Amino acid sequence: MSTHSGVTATTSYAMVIDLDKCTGCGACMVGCAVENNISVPPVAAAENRGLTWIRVYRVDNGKEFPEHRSVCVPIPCQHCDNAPCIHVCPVTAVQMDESTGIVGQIPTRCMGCRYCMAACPYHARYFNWFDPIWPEGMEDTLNPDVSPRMRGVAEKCNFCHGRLDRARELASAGGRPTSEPVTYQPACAEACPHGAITFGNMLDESSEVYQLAHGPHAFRLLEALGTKPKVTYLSREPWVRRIGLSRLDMVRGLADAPEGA
Amino acid sequence: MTLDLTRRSLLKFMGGAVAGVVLSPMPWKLLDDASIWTQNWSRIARPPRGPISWRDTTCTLCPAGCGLRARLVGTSFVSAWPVSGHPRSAGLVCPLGLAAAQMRFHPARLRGAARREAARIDAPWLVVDADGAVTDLGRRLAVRRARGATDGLALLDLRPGRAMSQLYREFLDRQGGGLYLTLPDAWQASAAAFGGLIAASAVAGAPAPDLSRARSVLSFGAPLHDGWRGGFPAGDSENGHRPYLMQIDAAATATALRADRWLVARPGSEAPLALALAHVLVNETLNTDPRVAALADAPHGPAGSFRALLADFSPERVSRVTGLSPSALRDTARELANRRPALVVGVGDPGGGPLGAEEEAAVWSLNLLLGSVGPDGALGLLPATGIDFADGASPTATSLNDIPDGSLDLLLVDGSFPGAPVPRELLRRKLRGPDSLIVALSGFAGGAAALAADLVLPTPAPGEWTDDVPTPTLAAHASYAWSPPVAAPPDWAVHPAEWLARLETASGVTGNFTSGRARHEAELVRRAALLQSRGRGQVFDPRDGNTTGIANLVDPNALGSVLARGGCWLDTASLALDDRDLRLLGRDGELAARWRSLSGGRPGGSAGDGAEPLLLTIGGDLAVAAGSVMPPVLNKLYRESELHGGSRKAALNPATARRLGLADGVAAELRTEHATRRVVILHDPSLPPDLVRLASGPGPLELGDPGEPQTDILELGGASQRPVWRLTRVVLKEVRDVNA
Repeated sequence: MSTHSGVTATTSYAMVIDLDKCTGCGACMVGCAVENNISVPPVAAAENRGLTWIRVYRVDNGKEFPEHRSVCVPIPCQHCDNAPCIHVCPVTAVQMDESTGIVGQIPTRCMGCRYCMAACPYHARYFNWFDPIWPEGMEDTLNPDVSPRMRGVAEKCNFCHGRLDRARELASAGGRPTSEPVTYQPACAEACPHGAITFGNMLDESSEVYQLAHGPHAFRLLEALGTKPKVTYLSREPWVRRIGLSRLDMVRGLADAPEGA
Repeated sequence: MTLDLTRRSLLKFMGGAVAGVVLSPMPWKLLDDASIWTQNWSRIARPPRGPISWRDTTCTLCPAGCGLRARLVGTSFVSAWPVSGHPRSAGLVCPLGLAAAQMRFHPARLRGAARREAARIDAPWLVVDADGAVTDLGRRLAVRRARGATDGLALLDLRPGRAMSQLYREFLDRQGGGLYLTLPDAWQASAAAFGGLIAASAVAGAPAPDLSRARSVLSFGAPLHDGWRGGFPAGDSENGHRPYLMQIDAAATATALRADRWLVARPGSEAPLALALAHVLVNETLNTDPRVAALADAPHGPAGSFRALLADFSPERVSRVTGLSPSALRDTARELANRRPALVVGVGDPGGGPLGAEEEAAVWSLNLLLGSVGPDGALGLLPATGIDFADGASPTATSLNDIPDGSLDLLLVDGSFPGAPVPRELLRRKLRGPDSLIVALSGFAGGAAALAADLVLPTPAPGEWTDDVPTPTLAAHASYAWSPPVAAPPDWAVHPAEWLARLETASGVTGNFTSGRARHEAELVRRAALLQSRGRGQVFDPRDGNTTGIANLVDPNALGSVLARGGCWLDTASLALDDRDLRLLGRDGELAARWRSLSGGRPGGSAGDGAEPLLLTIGGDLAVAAGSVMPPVLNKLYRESELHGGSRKAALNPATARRLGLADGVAAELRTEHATRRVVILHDPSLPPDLVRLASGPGPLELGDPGEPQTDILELGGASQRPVWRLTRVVLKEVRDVNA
């Protein structure tokens, strides 16, 4: 159990991504886009104008061949417990669901100021530069559980809230109270062909996600900022675990500390 | 008490009212409603509405044939997800399959018969009358038959072994004969090379490498951990979940970095490298094994013996070609010998076409020496096509590479598989004259079949018709599945068997069937009944997720019913192979001379103008082949992130790029002796110096940009002239004009 603002929560959805298993195939990005009706920008648009609620970055050790090593790092919204985007939004278009820990984006409230994008240290937020338009007829393939967003608003991962709603509906239809935690998988976790993404309730100590997140190879990105992200990464490679360190860590000397510090 | 209405009180009331309204929820409600209203412009797409249901099918976007669970909203096919427990895909699916629903509305989708304005790759498509086109083709066929000609007509089947393949052969037979052509991809070429090491009199079998049964694996550049699930089991080596992996790769690929041992060998040195390992196995590690000695010393006529050949491939000599030290070569061979069952896989990067017949044969010879074939090894042996459907097919298959140039008047191309790598010029060269035609049966104006075509007859897209999916090449087990439709085809899309029936009618042939589709369905049913009657194997039923023995099916049509709801037949049985049937130097000893000719590595050609030549490797970004029509959402991978460059970006080592004065992101001209192409430079420290890597696909058109003309990337490597085109010399020069 945990409390946010006095509300007692039984669920805190969290994600663990095993970087040793990720091959950078991009199935998570495609599964996410298909599930959440994320359109493709016009061909003439600049490459950085796209929407990728989960984006796989390639990070390397900075060395030349053959010492060069790289790792693929999928970065969705980190659903921080102390989310900077919530603090800076002037129209309360970003809110945390106290019962699930999911940081949600409310596009109908968003006025497109992009303060949240500037505030997010993970670059996990995207701006809708274009109307969501698909090739002729392709709107017939959109997911009815997720509304397409308009041009001019910020977007981000919401841990597939449409799937959470469906899971709740199913639970409710099965006679379970709606307040009980439900189990579901976001599209990226279902799509990953390598089983690199684990999703579950961090408040359940018997859950796989809890076990993995508290393992010896776990780390989180930019922890020194105090954002308390709910996405945890795993890697047995020491140099990979160091990508989670920030400039603050360097100032504090943590970057030079022995591995595992 | 009187109520005095004064001007002051009226003003106070009005002021209070205004303040009250401002402070009330009303303005926020108005703002909220305005926000919601502005989200409902008519131009914003609206998802379909209706009851949600699920239907199982099989993906036909690549030969792997993974199980797909299609989500339907009303009658709309909106998305596809993995089928839990599916024996082919083990509950997984790649990005292509995930976005399969988009293929029906791909911008390159044809909406009628289309003809190229001119026989150029960048010529626009013109919509033509389909009936007129069929009449014209029928007339050509009738004239040919009246002449009694048996040549000039051919059909290229890019996915042989299906029920449609049988119908294609029947079509050719009724037209008085014609060539049934195939074009081996990297996997098929590898399997074919294996056949060359087996005596002709022996049981014909296709190699079936089973990684899960191997204790050690040596991979010649195969993307086991790159791309979309290369079939390699995930897990920790020390936990025994996966074999000890040794990867031979010039670049720091994901597979190389995850391997237990990464051998950085020069590209093109695969054949001598494999033979050097064989040298160690025969002369050092396994010299006490009488079985290996017998194999190595077996006489091959004038070619001598395998052991005699290996004298030319000592580790010391090969070391100079591969760049690997003699001790590294010896250690690798010893690891294989000590960790048996061992498995050696070739193929390389399948997006770059065949690795080479000589290289593949050398790789398979290692498996034969290591005793990997058989029930105790990691290399099974399946019936030649995975399943023998006893269709008595005639004519037999001929490789497109083996027919002379200028010999065809009409070439039909099956385009049901939108992702096969087809060198355009190779097809065009086979045409006899200016009136000769290539006609594709395809759903798309892009992709492999349409790349070379003059005319495209529109067929249903994947997911709109029942195709069958035979055993993928190099799969560990034989399997068979159907792809029951999950969406209705549009009016203009005609079943490929129906096109055949129309062509027969137009050409005056009185066929034994009036409906092509009915004939195709009858062939599907026949195949299912045949499999069931043999009583061998198991059946996966997606309805309950259970796998049962086929002998448990009571109804004689039960297998067909299971396949029609997306099920899959699976057989783990393997054929036996007698050592006496092995021919390590080829059936006629022909490999000895061919291997010796490659003792210095495979030549990469010359750039020709004296400028500093680099080595270009053409590969497949995520094993995507040139010409693959892909769902537009894959733009997320190719344009909206830095994950994959696609075919527009030429990657090279940063130090090499700096030496050549090529900054990251600049436009450059990439020139080989075969072709020239404009590319964008991408600095990639995972590549060794002097190596340039270009993905053969996808191009802009294949990703949904119909404004971009198609280009034939494979021709950079001389794909129409060379059997192996993944490696060639190249010159890179920056293009400084502002319109680059």
